[in-house]
Amino acid sequence: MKKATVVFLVSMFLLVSAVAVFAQQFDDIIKIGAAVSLTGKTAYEGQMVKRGYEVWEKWVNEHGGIKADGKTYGVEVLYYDDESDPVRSARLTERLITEDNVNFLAGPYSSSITFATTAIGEKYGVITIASTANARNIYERGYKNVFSVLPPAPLLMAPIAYMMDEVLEPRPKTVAIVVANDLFPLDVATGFNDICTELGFDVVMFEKYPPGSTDLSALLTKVKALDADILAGGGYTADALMILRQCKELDYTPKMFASIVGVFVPGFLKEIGADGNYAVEGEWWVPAMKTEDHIFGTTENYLQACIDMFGDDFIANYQTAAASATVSIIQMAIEKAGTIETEQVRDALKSFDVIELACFSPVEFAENGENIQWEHPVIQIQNEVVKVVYPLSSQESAPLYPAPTWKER
Amino acid sequence: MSLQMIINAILLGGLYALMGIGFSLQWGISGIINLSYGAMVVLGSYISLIIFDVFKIDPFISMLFSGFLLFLIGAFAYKFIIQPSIKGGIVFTLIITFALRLIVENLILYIWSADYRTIRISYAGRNFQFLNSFVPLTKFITFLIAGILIYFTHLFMMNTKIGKGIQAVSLDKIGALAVGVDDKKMYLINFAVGTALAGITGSLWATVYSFSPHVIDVIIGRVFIIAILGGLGNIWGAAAGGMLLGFVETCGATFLGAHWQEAIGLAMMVLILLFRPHGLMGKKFFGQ
Repeated sequence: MKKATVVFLVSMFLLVSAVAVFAQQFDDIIKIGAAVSLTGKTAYEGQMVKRGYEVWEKWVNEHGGIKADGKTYGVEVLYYDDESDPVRSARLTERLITEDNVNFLAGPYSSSITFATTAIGEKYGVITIASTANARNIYERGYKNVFSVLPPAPLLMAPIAYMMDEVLEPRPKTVAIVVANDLFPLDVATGFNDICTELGFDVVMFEKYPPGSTDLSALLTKVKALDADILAGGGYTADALMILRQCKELDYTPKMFASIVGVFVPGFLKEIGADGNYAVEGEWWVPAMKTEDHIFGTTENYLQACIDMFGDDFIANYQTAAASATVSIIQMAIEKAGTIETEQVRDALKSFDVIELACFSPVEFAENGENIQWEHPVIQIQNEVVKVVYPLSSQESAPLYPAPTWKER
Repeated sequence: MSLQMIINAILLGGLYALMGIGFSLQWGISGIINLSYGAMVVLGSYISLIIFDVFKIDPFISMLFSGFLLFLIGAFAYKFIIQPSIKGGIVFTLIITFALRLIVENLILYIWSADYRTIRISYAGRNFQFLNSFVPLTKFITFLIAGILIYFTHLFMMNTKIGKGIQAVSLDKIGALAVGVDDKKMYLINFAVGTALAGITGSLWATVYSFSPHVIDVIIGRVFIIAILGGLGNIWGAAAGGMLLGFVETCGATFLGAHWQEAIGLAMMVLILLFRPHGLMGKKFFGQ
């Protein structure tokens, strides 16, 4: 019993000392609230978001904090588990604001939960930077205090269109788009269609197919007859697998297949092997990006910080990176405003041109808070390895175009 | 309609035909609307996957094992789960088979997760030229096997003692009982044969398409249409229903747009129900 008491007292002493050292190092603390999904159906994604916040919090506190108002601030992110439930998340957000007195809110995972929590932030006039929520309805409510790190879905394939315009030789002329008639793929494909048209490509087909389709032979036979240079679309991983496999069966080789989602998923290459070569896809972010900022310095530093904190096996994904970008942007806005006062920080956020980040693709806020920057990466499968082919600043390898025919491979 | 379109339609219809027969037999003869049928097809795909991963055995061979294993599963499920529930009426059997589907689906999710899987046989994606069109090799083999299996199922029903017994209880249960046919045994075998056909279809499906538990709903939607188009309990009717659905879906995608592909199949089912409720080849005494 005596031994236990000694252990307890020593532990308490160490804890109090640590708090005292932390408090001495900084003049004050900036509190950021985050109700994220740590359990429930989006627990994995929520954990990845939380890790993105954690790595920034540790980095900033170890690198001198944030300077504003003539003080040096440390940062503290307060977490609650929203159990993947929008109603609970909204309630916890209110608690973060009214009981924990947070200065800013970092968004939860998913659009549906963010839709609920941002209403609370707006009610109390607290800024939310949404890390992983790009449904347009969140930003169409006229809120002043909501900003998004992820660009809206219609911009996902935008860099592919710009790559086609600027990089591919010979410049493609025609595009055929086939897309699963589902909310997200349709949004992405519609955006791609608009940008292709804007850039002067001839979109010879835009056709929807039922989501969950297992055989697109009839549709692909029509596409083959049109002989478009670029075949774009699909939906999710199964769609990308189906389209490529059935293109091969029909002996149809588009000069480039641009997928909506699926190619970057690890299982894709495992399932399709070398037939997946030459497929391209737009990503919000990949670890192979080479960008810089004054917080982490380089993407390499950022990835190392993640490994140092979570172990050698940890690979940051776009959710982690977007979360780190969320809190990095709060830091940048505070530094630009020179204060942590909401009004001035909001003005600083709105006055940013393009925000360059070491941990994410560039961000630029529109008037409604949406990120309208499209310079996120394009990846291509080359010799069964994922390579960043665009933007040129992060390019690992030039895009392979046109793809050789199936027989030549 | 180009030759390529006709080839696409025939090959798609062949797999649909085989897929529909087991469900049609179970519904038309055993009187069970088997909502677990799609799950059994997908289970067949995963059985071939595991055999391929471990022993590198081609699904065109492992389909025999899938069929055998699913026959046993079908017989067990009928004897111990479905048969005791028949007295509760059609709603009860619907609930029971739906529960069975959930069990199989969750088992698959637990073992293989929800990821889409593909069996990467070395000749997947290959084709051969026929006039100015291309015939996908695996789909062509699948079509041939489907045709052979449909014919064998027909022979089994027409020429074996058990097959004749199954037909007898389907045509006139009391008459069959009077001449000593064991109706429970016949229903059980019929249900198990239907499940075996589901397993074989699953193995064949895995050679041409990706699969995951999500595919269960796609399959169950198709087999309902095929069974109703062709006529319940009729092998050639189900085969015709499958071929017809293949053609209708292909024509719909070609001439109306791919987004009409599914709707047109359902519209045709409604038309058949209105104007020929017993299906294209169904006869009134079947499944009554």
